[in-house]
Amino acid sequence: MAVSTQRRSPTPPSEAHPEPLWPIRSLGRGSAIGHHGELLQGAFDDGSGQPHPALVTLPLPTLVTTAEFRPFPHPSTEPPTVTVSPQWKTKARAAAELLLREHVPQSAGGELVIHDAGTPPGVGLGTSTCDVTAALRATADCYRLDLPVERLATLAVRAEGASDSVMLENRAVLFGQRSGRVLEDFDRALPEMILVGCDTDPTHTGVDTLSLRPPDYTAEEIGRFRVLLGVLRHALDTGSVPLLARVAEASALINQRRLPTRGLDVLREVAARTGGLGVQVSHSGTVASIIFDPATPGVAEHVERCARLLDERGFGPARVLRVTTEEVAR
Amino acid sequence: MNRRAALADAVEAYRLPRLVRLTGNTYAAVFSLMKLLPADHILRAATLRGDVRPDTTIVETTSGTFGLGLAMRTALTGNPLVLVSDPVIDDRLRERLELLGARVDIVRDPSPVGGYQAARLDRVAQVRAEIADTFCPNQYSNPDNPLAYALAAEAVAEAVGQVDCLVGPVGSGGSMCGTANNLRTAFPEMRAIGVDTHLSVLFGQPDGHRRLRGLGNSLMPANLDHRTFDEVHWVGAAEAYQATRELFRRHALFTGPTSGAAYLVGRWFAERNPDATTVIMCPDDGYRYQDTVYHAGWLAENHLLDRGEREPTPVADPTRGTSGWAFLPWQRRSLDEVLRNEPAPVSAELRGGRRTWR
Repeated sequence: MAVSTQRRSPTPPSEAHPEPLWPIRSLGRGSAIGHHGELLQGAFDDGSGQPHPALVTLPLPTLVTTAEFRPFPHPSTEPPTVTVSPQWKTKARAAAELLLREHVPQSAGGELVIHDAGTPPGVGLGTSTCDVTAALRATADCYRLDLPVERLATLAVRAEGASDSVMLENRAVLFGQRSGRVLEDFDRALPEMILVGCDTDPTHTGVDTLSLRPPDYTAEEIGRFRVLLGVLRHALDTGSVPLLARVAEASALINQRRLPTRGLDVLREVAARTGGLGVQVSHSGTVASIIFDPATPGVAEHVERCARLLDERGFGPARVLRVTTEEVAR
Repeated sequence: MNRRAALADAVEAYRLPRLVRLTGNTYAAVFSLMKLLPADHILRAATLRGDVRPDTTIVETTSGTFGLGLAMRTALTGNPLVLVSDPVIDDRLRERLELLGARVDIVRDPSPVGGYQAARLDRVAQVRAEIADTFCPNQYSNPDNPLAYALAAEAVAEAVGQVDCLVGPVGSGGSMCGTANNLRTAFPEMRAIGVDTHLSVLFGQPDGHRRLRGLGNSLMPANLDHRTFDEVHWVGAAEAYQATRELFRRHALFTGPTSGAAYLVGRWFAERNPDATTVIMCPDDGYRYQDTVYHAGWLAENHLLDRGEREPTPVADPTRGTSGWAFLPWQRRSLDEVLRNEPAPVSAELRGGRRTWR
């Protein structure tokens, strides 16, 4: 009942400027955090008999994208149109239009502004999904829509073709990047980690995630992903960074034949020489990192040596990133 | 904690191991009927490929628990099942198979060349020629057998995390090669110890009569990948039975004698390497062995009491046969490399400087 009274206009709408169906804000805001590729990516048995492509993202709460949405005069009988700045953020625009078409009757559209974290698209930091998610949140905020996260995921996948799970923040989930489905919610936050990150192929123009068909994994590989999921569950239950690093490196190695990471051997060697626990990659991008446990005595020196060695091997500039469990204020 | 839901069927209820802590960081992976896992997986995969349809007759040669696994699944799916066996089949097992709807076809006479094994294979070919639509699971060479053990490896990894050593009996090669190779996806340096018995051809011994059943083989199965193993042990019936009874007395785990054989070796490794996380594969429960392994009178009559050995003897050449409890550092070599006494290839994984065990 509350909804219908809220939506009913108090006075009969005039011909020229009909009242909006419900009060909207003059400015909607939204944000999203990026990630540093995946801890695990593969195909998983969802009980259907057909392997389901899915991934577990490694969120980076320090990488924040924000969006603002200003609505055009409302309502309109035309389909909604959205303008976006910067202009090349076309997926974010498409996502906002999709949301308006499906959730806001008679919307005229609006003006969308994206402030990204300055990370380039295509390197595997989730830049594109971040733009899309922040845009969806800003648009929803403007119309006071409280959309469930699963709905956001579905809209993101439809706007982008494939997506990752940034809308789920730092919840660890197994997410179908093409279905938008959460296959498994591990119900645990990731433990704190230190990443020594780099771009393995800075001259590369970026990977168009959409152009990558999900690999046809063999039955043997699908079995291996199942085992890695078992290790991952134990790692999250016990907060074990070494085990998470094992999962990440094993996933990178299986995918090396499908979605190769340049210099993976060099990264593994640098990790082995500096006390790194394992190598983690963006399976559809070019960023990678070596994982360290903040609880290891002398970790600061190890991290410094690792960053220096990566620079020496031509993978610089290496960046030291912290994965924290704290909630990010937005 | 996860909420418990009802299981889909009996196959789901029995196919996966329970991980039970024995002492410190030594665990038993306890199956009720391990062979249910490959039996179910092989038929499931063949059904998805279209090789098994609703009326397809499943035909297999078996005198053991793999047949029971097949019969449990076909009882649920309704596929006809023909199991070809020989007169050594245990009567109670035969009764269970028939109750589950299987036709048990007993080959009465051994073949002049190749004995009962060959006669059984001939009979399988004959049965398949008589029925239009058949499927033979072929546990010894079907690659879906080791692949099935990804589920066991997942269960082990989820419960225990890092595994440093996996110990288990070897018969078809499916369970140990499948579980070890899958666990090595995350733990490439994990040690794998295979447990065989005297006069089994699996790891180079001459073929002969074996008292300890359920492990070992007279034929070399294609599913056995010798390069999986870091160490191979040969155990006799007396040691295995003794250890089976100890596993029951100390830990209240009621298992069959192949579990006891694995426990004997696993306990020895764990005592020498207390920092290692050791997982011991226990393939079946003890009910089928109450008149033998768990019967003191029977053991005394058969001179199998109090001969349990506490330490294995190293052997250099398995082709000469072994007795008591023997072992050979296999070092992930092929059978040929071991028989030619060639040194182990040094793998990149093992060079990585990760910790090694005694």
